[in-house]
Amino acid sequence: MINEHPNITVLIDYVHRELIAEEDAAVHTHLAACEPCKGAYEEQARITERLRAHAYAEERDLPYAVVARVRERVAGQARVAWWQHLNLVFRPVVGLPVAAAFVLAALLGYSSLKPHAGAPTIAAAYYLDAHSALTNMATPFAQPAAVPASLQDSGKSATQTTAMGPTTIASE
Amino acid sequence: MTLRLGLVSLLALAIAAPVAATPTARPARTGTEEAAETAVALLHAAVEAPRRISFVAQVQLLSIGSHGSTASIFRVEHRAPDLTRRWYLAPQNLYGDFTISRAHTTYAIDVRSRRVVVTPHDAFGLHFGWSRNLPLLVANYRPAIGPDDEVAGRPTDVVTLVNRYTGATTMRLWVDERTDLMLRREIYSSDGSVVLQMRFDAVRFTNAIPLATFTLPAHYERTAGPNREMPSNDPLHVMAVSGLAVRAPRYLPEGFTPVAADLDNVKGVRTLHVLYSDGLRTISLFENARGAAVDMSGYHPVSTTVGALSAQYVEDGPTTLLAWSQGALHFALVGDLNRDELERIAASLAQ
Repeated sequence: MINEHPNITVLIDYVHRELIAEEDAAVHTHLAACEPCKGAYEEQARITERLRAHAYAEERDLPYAVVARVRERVAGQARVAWWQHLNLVFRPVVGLPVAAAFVLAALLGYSSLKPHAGAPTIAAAYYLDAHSALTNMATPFAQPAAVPASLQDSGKSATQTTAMGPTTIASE
Repeated sequence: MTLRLGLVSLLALAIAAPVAATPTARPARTGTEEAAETAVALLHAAVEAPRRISFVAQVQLLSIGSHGSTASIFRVEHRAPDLTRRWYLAPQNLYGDFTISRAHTTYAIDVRSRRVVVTPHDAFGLHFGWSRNLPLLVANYRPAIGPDDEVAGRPTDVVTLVNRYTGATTMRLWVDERTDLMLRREIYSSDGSVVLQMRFDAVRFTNAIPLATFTLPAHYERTAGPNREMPSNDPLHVMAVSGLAVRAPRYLPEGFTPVAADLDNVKGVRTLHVLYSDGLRTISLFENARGAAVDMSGYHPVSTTVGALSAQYVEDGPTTLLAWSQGALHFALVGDLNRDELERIAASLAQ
C-alpha cells in the first residue's frame, strides 16, 4: 500500500488505466483504505463518463463524399504502370500463392467468401461476453461465468461445449 | 429462521411495497404473505451480503447446456465490500490462474503467459448485480421459503423463486442463516432441469484477509480486455443518443423490460447493446448499422429463419446467440431463453 495520496494526474491515469501494473495495484490498494482519495477517484470517474457520453452524443461520421474523395486520392497515389503490375503478378513468389488461392476459391465457391468481403465482422464471443458482463452488473442474482473470457482467449477455454475431457462434462 | 422474521419484516415491506402496491386496499396480512415478505427480505440480504461479509471459500460452479456442460472449482477470497480473488483449482488447464476483481473491474492473471488482462465494467467477482432491480424480480417471481437445509456444514434458509406467469420454479437459493451469504444456487430451465449450479464446499468467515492478497503480480505483461463502457440504467436515453435507427422488439416474454444499455465501439463499429430482463432471466439485443456481421468461426452455427429473413444461431452452454441482418442493420440476440422464444422475439423486430 502506498502511504502518499496519489495526485490528480495519477488518479486520472488510474481512471483511464494508463498506469503500469504495479502503480495501478498500489493506487488501487490505497483507494480501498482512503476515503478522501476514493471520493476524488469517483469524481474523476464520473467526469470521464460524462465526457464519453458527450463524445458519443456529438460524434458524427464524415460525409460520404469526403470519404469517397479520400479513398480516390489514396488509390491514385498507389497507382502504378500496367507493366509493373505484370512484373509483380508473374513473379513465382506471388504468382504461385495467387494461383493456389484461385483454385481454393473455386473449390469453396464464391458464396462462402462473400460474407468476409469488405465489411468488418464482430466475433460471436464478443456478444456472449458482453451479454454476460451486463447481466452480471444489472441483475441481482446473475452468476459470473465459470471462467473469465480473457482466460478463455488464451486458448484455455473451459467452455468448449462439444469436446470431452477432464474439464468438460457431457450432459447427455 | 423464526428469529429472523421480526428483523426482516420491515425491510421486506420496504422492498415489496413498490411491487405489491395495488389500487385496492390491502387485506390483513396472512401467514403466506408474511412468509413471502420474509423471503423478499432474505433475497435483499443475500444480494447485499458480499458488501459487508468477508470470507474465504471453495466454490464449485457447474453450467449445463443442451450440447455440453462446463465446470470449475475455485478458491475465493473476498474482502468486503468489493475485493474478490478467485484462484482456480480446476479445470486443470487453468490451475494456478486467478482473477482479482475490484468493484466492476476484473484482472485476469494468466500465470503461464505472465499476462494480466484488465477488463473494465465486468462484474466478475461475485454477485454484485444492481439490487435496484430486485423489485422487478419480485414483481415477476413469487419467492417462497422452503425447508431449512445445510450447505458446507452451515444451516441455511432455502428460497424458491417461481415465475408468476408460467408457474415454473426458476431459481432456488440457499442463504446462510447467520451471515445471509448465498452458499448455494440452482437455476432451472422451463422444463425443470438444472442449467446452473453454484455451491460453496467450504467457507470460513474472516476479517483478516490482507490487502496484499489482491495485489497484482509484478512484471507481468498487462493487456486491455474488451473496452466496455459503463452501462447505463437508463436504456431509453442510451437508445436516444445512439444515432442508430433503434428497433425495439414488439414481443417480449411476460415481465421483461429494458433495464440497462451501453454503446460500444467494436472495431470502429458503434454497437448498441440493450439488456432486457424480468429480474432473473436476461436477453441482450445488439444492433449495428455498419454492415458488421457476426463472425461465428470457432462455433458450430446452424441456419434458421427470423420471419422471412435468414439467420444463424450458436449455442454456448445454456446461452444461445441468434444473428441476422435486415438491410444495413445487423442484429444479435443473446440469452438463456429457449431458441423458439428468441426467434419469436427476433421476428417481432423484423416486422
